[in-house]
Amino acid sequence: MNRNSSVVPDFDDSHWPLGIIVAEAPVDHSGLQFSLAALETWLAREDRFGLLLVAAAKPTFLSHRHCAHAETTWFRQNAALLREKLLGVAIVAPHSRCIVPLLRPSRFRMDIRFQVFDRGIEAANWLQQAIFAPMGLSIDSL
Amino acid sequence: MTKSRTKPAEIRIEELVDAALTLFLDKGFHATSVAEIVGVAGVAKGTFYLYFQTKEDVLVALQKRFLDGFIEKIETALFTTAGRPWQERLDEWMKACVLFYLENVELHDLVFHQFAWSRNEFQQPNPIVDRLSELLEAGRAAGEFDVENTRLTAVMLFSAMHGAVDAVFAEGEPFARDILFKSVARLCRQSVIAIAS
Repeated sequence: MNRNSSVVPDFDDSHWPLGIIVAEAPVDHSGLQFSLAALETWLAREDRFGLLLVAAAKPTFLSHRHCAHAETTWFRQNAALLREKLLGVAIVAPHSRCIVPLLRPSRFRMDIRFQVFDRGIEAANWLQQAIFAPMGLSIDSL
Repeated sequence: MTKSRTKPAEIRIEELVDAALTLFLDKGFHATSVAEIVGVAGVAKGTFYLYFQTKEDVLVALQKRFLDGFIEKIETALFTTAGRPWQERLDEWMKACVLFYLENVELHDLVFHQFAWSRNEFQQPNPIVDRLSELLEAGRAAGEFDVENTRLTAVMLFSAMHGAVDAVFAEGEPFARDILFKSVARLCRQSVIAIAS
């Protein structure tokens, strides 16, 4: 896949209350919009959950300049729900550490626990032990 | 979106590896996508990336599967020949090697030849050679084998066995397994047996 092509990120809730979003190709503006819309469906659920973001592509964003405004607006609009429902965020970015500052919850003035990893299972184990277990929750079939 | 499942991680990983193996053998490693692997396994991409960082990680899992199966075969051969003379144990050990290799040629070629490993990966320890070296050392300690360097001898014998099986496969003609076993066993015996003075 060439640098200028993108696909919509993949969403996996089969390990709920862990939601996994995978970007295998660079995310453009429409891909980001799709991702945020899908994230809203998770926020609409009754349960609190953790988020695992997998940046399997390099680069992760085609053009962050176009995404930045959309992100900021969305986070502002959903801040209350995020604080209520989102327990923690783990990022797997073995090839794209430069995107980590862009995805930190603190960038959006959100005080949500956040950690970066090279491997998915390490990220999931951190979410399980540091985030879910203290809440009496468990990742399905981890 | 996918529904929640309750399969343990170990089963999920094996299903992903099984799916990948089917596709790698059918289409080749490079032509197979993660999307196809998860499609055959019946899971979402998130589940794949939970357990594997890349497609190459799956190949490493397949390599481990091959080696684990190989080690189980040769250790069974040693176990079932306990107490017998070391030359007979070496015969059965080599027979188990040849048999396992013949039954798993496709998997072997996929994980060791189809994918271009880097030089560092090629220099990884070979647990099969390690075990052969231990067998030769035990036979030497028992006075049955006359081997100056068990490690080098193990490398040479393993390579000879490997080369023999590759050669009969490359010829593409039907071959008698018994003749292959006997040829490999004869070479090994001639290489290691201590001749009573």
